[in-house]
Amino acid sequence: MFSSQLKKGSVELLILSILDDQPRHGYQIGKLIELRSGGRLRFRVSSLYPILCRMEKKGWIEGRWVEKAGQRRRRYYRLTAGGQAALAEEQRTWVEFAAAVNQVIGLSHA
Amino acid sequence: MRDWKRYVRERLPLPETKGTSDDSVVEELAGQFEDLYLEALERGATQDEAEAYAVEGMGDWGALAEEIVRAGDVRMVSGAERWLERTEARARARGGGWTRLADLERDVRFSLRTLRKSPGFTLVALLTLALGIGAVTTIFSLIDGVLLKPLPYADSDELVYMWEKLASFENAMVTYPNFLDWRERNRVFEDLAAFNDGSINLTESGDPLELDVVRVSASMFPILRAEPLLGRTFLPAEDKLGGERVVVLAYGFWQDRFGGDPGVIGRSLTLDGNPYTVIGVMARDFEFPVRGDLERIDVFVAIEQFAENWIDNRGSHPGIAVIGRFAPGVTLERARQDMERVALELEAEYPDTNEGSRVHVASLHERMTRNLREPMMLLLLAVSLLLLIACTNVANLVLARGAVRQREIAIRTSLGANGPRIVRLLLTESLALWVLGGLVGIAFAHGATRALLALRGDQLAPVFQVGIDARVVAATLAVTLLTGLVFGLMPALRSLRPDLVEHLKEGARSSGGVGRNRLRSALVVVEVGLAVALLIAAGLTVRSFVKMMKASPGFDPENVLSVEINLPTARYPEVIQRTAFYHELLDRVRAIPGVRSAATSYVLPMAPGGWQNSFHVEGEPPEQSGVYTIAEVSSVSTDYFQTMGIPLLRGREFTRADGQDAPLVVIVDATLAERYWPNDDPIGKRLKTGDYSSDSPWREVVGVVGHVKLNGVVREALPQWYMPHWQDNDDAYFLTVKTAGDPTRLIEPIRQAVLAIDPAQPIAEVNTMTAYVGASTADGRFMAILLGSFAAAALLLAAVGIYGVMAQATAERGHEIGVRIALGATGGEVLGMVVRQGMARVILGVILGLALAVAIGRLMAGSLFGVSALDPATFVAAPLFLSAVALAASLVPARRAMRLDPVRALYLVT
Repeated sequence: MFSSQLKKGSVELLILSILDDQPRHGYQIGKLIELRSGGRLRFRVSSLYPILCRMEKKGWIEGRWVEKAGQRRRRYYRLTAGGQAALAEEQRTWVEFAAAVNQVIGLSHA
Repeated sequence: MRDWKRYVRERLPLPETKGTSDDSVVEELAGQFEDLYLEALERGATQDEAEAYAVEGMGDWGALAEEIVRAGDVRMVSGAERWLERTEARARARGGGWTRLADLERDVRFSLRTLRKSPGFTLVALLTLALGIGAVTTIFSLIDGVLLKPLPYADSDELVYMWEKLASFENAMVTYPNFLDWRERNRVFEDLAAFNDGSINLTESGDPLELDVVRVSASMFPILRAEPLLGRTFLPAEDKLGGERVVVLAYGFWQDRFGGDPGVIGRSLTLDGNPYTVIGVMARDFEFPVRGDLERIDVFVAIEQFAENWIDNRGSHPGIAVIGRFAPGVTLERARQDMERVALELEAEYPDTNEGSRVHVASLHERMTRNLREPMMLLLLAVSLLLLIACTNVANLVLARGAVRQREIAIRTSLGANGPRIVRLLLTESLALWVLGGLVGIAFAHGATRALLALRGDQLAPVFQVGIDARVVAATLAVTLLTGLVFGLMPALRSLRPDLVEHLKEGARSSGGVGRNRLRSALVVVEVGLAVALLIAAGLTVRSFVKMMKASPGFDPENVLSVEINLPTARYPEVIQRTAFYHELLDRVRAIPGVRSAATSYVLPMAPGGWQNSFHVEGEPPEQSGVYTIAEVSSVSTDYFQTMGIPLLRGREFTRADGQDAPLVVIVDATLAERYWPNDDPIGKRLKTGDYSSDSPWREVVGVVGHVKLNGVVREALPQWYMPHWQDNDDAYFLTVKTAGDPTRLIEPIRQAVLAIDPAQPIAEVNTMTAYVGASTADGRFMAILLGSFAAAALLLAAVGIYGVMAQATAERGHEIGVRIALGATGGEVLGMVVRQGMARVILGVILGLALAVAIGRLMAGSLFGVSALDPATFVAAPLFLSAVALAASLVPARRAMRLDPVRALYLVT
């Protein structure tokens, strides 16, 4: 598991990407990260939840309670306009960062 | 399965979550544990394994709590929401009919949360509603206190107020012998009581003091059902000529003068030089219904003791009015019929004085509020318009938000929420908004009512209890709920109809829909109409006030000071003594540095008191005996016209030579001269008081002066004539002094001049003439300030409303505008198109407003001064002004549309 080695900023990038196409609730976010990373990235409730709180505070995502028939209500998070901008910015930074790292460790050439 | 909420709650050390049943942090975390648990079960794990999987590696709860607190997501749940949550849970647990209550509470809770989530929207909507509701509450508290609440006397609807109607004079005071006959001959009243007011000099230790006194019949207090706090009120035997001199104190005077000493009963007061025994003190909350000219009432005395000059004079009207109480079961109509009968009897018996004389009988409450009813109704109308504008604005805001929330509602519908459920939710949201607005409005009204009373409280007799009480709050909440229901239902119902067909027809993904826009347009039209009407009403009032301020009162009030001096007959029984006093006073005052001129007069323009008398001009006997012509009369000293700045048009002023033994002379005003001698020189003509054939002497006209607006600049005054002070010597006179500088600096020197002549003589009613003139326009100023501020608020709200709708409509037409620009439309054309669309609504609104204003103008006609209710200037200027504001409001979105990048617009919308 790489989770513990990820910088907090990177986790935010993961969450922003997950929410890019549609609103999801906390459990789904955790499961999707796990799924898309082939099980290599896993987050405990205790680590994911505070990050969601912080992102909401920053205005990147917005949580909303949704009731569905026959189910208990869940809090769905979706990207705000600010979140969309942050996602674009984080993606760019990540690509540049990865390229720089690759260059340094000799995996690619400028 | 484990209770996950409890599991989280027990472990997560968040202080805020302890004890709350349903905190959202707990709920969300618990939900995630549950999802993990269920996932494990699905994979085939046992319950215990699944639980272990869910809680696996939860780690440090304390660190989590810290993170959450740092992330700031422990939301501030308001006390109201927490309370709702608790009671909702309780109601749900009870089941049955309680579920409905629980549902309602959930909706309210949800509404509060939704409102808190869009603070900008909520703040604007709340302030708008608070303004509208607050204004209505303020005016309603006034109307409730004055017009709706009964007077503070037991069974006050049985109380009546009575006065006389003479053949030649519609409203006259009552003669004392008539009162005695009414009392004896009527068959409809439990009892009648007469009263008049005046002043009485208190001389004891210290400076002499002039007290405000009401003289009442012994029957007055029993009729009002007023019990004294201490002692007793008058006995019938005391209410007689030569009866024992006794006095009842008002609470305020008892407090000020005797410090509330209960031992005051039986003590003696020297009033106008005579000893009076204190027999009673009235209760603190007792207010005499009619205050007349008095600032406050100090003492009550028995009226008939003062009736020496009027007890058998049916021609004398010494300022008496009558209060009565119906016998059981009597109606106003029956009382009027009965008093008509009594008046006819008296007419037959005393044709000389009572020919054509009748009795006015009115409900006491109605009589006391007759001048207040119309302006208050006008104010109520104005604030109602303002409230409607505010509601329209908020309905518009809610509608605009509805467009944004369309998606949320679509999701809810697709998730199985039915129409009524969604309408109920949206309606609850609106009602929550309205009720909150109403509460803020009530708080606002609390302050506004006080400000209002400070502005014009002197106009309201203290018997009226104006304030924000439970009645007013209940009425406000009713209005709030009603408007909230009407204006909240509109957008709620609208949200239900997605306008599917119109959506398809439009082809574009407009967030609103034509139907919604049509409704919003209609609201703008209404709003503009209401604002125009209010603006015109305010414009008329302000113009009327400006006219009042500019109108000349007929004299120059600048730097004129007046004081009243009331020489008690007990100490100045002889005319010669009084004349000597005034001669010396004028000599002393004229010698004070800074005094330009000084004079005395019996009547002072716009000041308390007045004297109207019948008269006849020589050579013009009346066609019918008993018909009089009435004029305002005063007796004035030398220099009066010069001191008051009243122009002397012909002839001369009075001099000291116009004394008791000199020929009787008068000075008439231009109105009287114009009416009786339009083509002749009035100098040398003669007139007399009373009946034409009476033996009262003829008086020769020696001068003509300008007409004076005695009753204030607003009201017309009768023709006037003046006698020399020294030929008609009464005991109460105003001293008027024209000064070089600030007149109030001479109050003390004047007081000293009076005391130098008579150390026991007080001065009273100290005032400047500018203050009297100002007071006479105070009603106009009051209405102008109030209606002006309501109109300003309406204008602001209307501008915001128009801007909001225009911005929204323009944004929704972005696609269309993009196409037009792409096809070659210039910026100017786009601008014109958008502005035209906006102004079309404004013009419709203006037409509506003009029609409304004509109707309101009709109501206002009576209170306008020098301005027609259809004043063309106002009717043109107000709509133009509002249109200009509306144009400015629609230019902002129009310019935005003009600068639209067509590519972007097309991309964005398709």
